[in-house]
Amino acid sequence: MIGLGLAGFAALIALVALGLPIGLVMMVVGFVGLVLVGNIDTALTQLTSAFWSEGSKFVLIALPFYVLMGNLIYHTGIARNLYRAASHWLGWLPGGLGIASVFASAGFGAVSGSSTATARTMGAIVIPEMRRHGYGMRLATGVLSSAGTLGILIPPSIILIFYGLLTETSIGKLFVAGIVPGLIIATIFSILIMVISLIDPEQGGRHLASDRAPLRERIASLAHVFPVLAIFGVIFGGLYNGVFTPTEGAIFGVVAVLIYGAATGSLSFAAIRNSFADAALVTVMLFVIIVGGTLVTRFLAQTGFTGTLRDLIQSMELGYVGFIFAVTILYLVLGCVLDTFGMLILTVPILFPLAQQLGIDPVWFGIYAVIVTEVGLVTPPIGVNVYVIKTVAPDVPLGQIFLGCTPFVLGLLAFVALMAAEPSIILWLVGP
Amino acid sequence: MKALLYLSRGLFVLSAWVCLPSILVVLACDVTLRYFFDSPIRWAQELAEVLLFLSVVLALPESFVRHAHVKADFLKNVLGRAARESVIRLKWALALAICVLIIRQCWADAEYMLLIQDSTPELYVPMAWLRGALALGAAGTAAIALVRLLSPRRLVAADGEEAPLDGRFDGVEP
Repeated sequence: MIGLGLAGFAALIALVALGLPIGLVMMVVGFVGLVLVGNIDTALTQLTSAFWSEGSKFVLIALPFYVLMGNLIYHTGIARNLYRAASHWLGWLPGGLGIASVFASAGFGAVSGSSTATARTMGAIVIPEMRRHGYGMRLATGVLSSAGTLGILIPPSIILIFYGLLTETSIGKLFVAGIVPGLIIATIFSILIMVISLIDPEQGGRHLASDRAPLRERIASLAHVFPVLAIFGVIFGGLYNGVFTPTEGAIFGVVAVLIYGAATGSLSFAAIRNSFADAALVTVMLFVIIVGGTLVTRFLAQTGFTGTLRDLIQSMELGYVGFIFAVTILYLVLGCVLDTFGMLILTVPILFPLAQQLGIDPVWFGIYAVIVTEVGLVTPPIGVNVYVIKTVAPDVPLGQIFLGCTPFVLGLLAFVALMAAEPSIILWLVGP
Repeated sequence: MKALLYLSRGLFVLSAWVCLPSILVVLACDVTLRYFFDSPIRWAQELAEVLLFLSVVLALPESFVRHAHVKADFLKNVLGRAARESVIRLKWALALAICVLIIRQCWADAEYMLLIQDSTPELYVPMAWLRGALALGAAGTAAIALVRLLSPRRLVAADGEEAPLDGRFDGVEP
């Protein structure tokens, strides 16, 4: 039986590597495996019942609406206001526009929930500005690719909802826990930008003391980002105080953005229509992965593959530090071939019970897994964010962009080490 | 193919423009009534769940038409044109097979559910209808997969990606 599980897992990896859709492959491998383990009738029943049981989960409703909120926000042009405000306040620092883009990305991530959307939106606004101010394109593209990863950590985060669904961890707690690491990583990125700009002034752009905007202008710039801060504040406050469920928070966010768009005239009918279409497509894509993952997990569990693998890892007696180190290496390797969702669906059913046995908090493990999978977004060969940034800076070679991301990848890994050493960094806002 | 694309687009319009906005309206009303009037809508959650399910299954064909499913493409440049063509055809073959199985089981499920008159607890939506919606989404996907699979034309474009489906609509809107 374990041999069958191993063969199924190998087939899964091989088919995914060939470039077949991950969700479809999982569904096929899971179904065939269940037929071989049991019989075709039970496998068929599980196939259709997984569609209903997974597709009608109330918490899943949060997914399309956070995607929708991010898309609508993108169309309102708030991103430009965020960047303008951040550059007014932070532009005078060494590498100031880079630092401004990091915090603007963090702000956009607070209402978007998607890493790619954050990188795409901020990249299109910031890279031409940084180019105009003489910044090196290696730093500019590296910053924008890496800062995009903040979008999936700072709540609301689609990937945290996905993790919450997989492990039945409170999505509200995950959202609350994401805020502190998001801000710390933004600070680490900013320090790195300053250091790079001081060491290599050609990368840091022209820096003039007169760039500092007058106080009145700076305060006025904050007024334009107030809607984002208010929406984020209400959602975050509602989740933190237990007033909102994540789904209600999503509904509130969408309604608030629609009202803001209508009041300012910044949302066209076409923009709303496209946003709904995109939300539907992202939801069905994730849903197919969830159904496929459910079938594969059941198949692997029935063959004893999952249990054996768990026993094997346990027998190594890695301990907490060894486990975190091994899992980090595993995610870095998987990040070279799989996207974030694929990585989580394949690994979490195996690693999550082990983490629990080691006494690791489910919320902490979720934040950790998301941060480590973020690295895959900016490392070759997949590096989705890098390809997104390449579309807004087509003249910059991919190698240069990946090189520009290197300091920030190291920064992310340094933060992983810090949070492993001091788990309370993640959990203090969540509480017991 | 064009007729199938119209069917796929029609189902997607229902999914993206009818089901999702309806969920938004229902839950917004429910939240408002609950927090401001202490009078929640009893069946709002169930209706939202049913609509979400419908939204997902009805968008299935269009998600394949628009290649919306994530995949690892790091081998794209390593594989030759013929190998890429085979991979694309394998994708459609797998989609066809799984969708046919879903339709077959939905039929069996629906017969049983009609027999025991299985329905949702609050709104009494017959579960057989929901299985019917799933079968419809799967049937649309299966039909597109079959046509694509039998297409005599090359499915791989010059850049190694899959060529757009014939008669595909321009733009991103449904």
